[in-house]
Amino acid sequence: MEGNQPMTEAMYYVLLALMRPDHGYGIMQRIKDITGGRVVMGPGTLYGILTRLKREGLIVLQEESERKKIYEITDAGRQALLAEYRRIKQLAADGAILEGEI
Amino acid sequence: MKRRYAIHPGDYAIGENEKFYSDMAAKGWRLVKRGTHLSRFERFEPEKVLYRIELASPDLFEGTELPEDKLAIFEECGWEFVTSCGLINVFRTKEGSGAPEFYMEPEQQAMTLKGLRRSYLVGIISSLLIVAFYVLITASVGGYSSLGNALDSAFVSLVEYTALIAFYTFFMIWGIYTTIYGAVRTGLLYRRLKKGRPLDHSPQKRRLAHKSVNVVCGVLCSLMLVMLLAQFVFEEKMPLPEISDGPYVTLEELGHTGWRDDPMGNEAQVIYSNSILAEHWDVNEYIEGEKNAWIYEDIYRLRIPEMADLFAKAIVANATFSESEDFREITVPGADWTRYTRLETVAVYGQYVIYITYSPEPYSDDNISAAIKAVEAILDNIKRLQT
Repeated sequence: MEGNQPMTEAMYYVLLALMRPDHGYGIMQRIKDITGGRVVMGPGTLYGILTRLKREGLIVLQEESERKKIYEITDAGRQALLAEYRRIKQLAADGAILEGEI
Repeated sequence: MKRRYAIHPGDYAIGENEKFYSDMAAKGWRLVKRGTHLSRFERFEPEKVLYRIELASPDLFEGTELPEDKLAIFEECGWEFVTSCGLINVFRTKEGSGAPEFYMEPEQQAMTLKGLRRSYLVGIISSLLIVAFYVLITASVGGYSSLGNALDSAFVSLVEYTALIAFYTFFMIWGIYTTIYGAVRTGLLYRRLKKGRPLDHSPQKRRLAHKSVNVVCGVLCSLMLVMLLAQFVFEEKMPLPEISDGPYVTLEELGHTGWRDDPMGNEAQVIYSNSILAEHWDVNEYIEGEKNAWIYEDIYRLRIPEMADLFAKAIVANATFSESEDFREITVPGADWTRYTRLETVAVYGQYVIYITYSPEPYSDDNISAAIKAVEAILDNIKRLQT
């Protein structure tokens, strides 16, 4: 990641989906499943994010056939995802004071 | 299979292109191939289809094809690849198929405009370079010592081949306008997406001003092309008569006797052509006899008489054998003004501009009386035609 910038939502979900190695379409399906259909990622977005995560060393190519590339998360990617998860959890925990308002 | 071609919107108009293809499909014309300016369609049942464009954004000197694995992801999502041309890749899906839009966030799509923005920038720079190169060449080659001379030469060409020069100029302006317009539109789209506003896949804006510019340029270019063809088709090449029947003079009328020859490969002839700005008689004759003589005549009848003065000055500046400062003013009865050097004479008479290169033998440094006689004879012939 560049500095300690928060991840975009799309990046977060792609890393999350890649906790299990998968190819492009599989990643999209998983994200749809994980979010209960809330996040439907377009192919343009997904391809852009895969390229970027690969460049930043957060994912690697595990297997490559003619048209399908299977990606998996790297240690750096796992750490970045965990850090982001903790950050979001902290944000949610801090927001607990809102509970009475809802 | 019935097929048809149609002009599609420019590459910068992503949403317009998507709508254009969807509209054509709804009318029963399915997109088969996209070219630089034209798209090819084939007749099918009318169908409700969504078209989307994905721009390739290759690095410098990289091919423009989308990577195989990218295509695979798009197709797995339900987008069928149709055709590509340059940076444009066209996909389609049936309406209601559930295929997701390409981009969740407009900012991500903004990044794909990088290649298109670069291609327009390259287009603008190269057209400026072409114009600069053209100006430089005209100003330096063929003895033009300055830009002013190049302009005089361009003015002479404009009068002789109005349609050709006008076509070339309109075509260049149209091309440069299109490139700049594309660059501006791409820049605006980039800013829109960057701000988080998604691409409009079905724009309704009619952009009448831009369309009018295209129609005007298109009509002007075609018109000039037709006029240009007409000028070449209707150009007349005739053997020169012994005694002139046009606004020019023959050597026999000037008192030379002998036989006509063509030592420079030019048979004695008169070429008559008709441009938008002027009629033009181009005469050349060579006589071999006791005394040799030769004459080149360019007689112009300008359709706008007010232009005659300016045009004659351009001829002086552009004269084949003499520098403009070599010309001196002489008086020929009947002519508005006349300038003369040892070989060349330029005269104005109303809407007529006379340019002769006349060499009667014996060669002398001062042919002034011969030149005056020739111009007078031409004026007589013109006046005879006028009555």
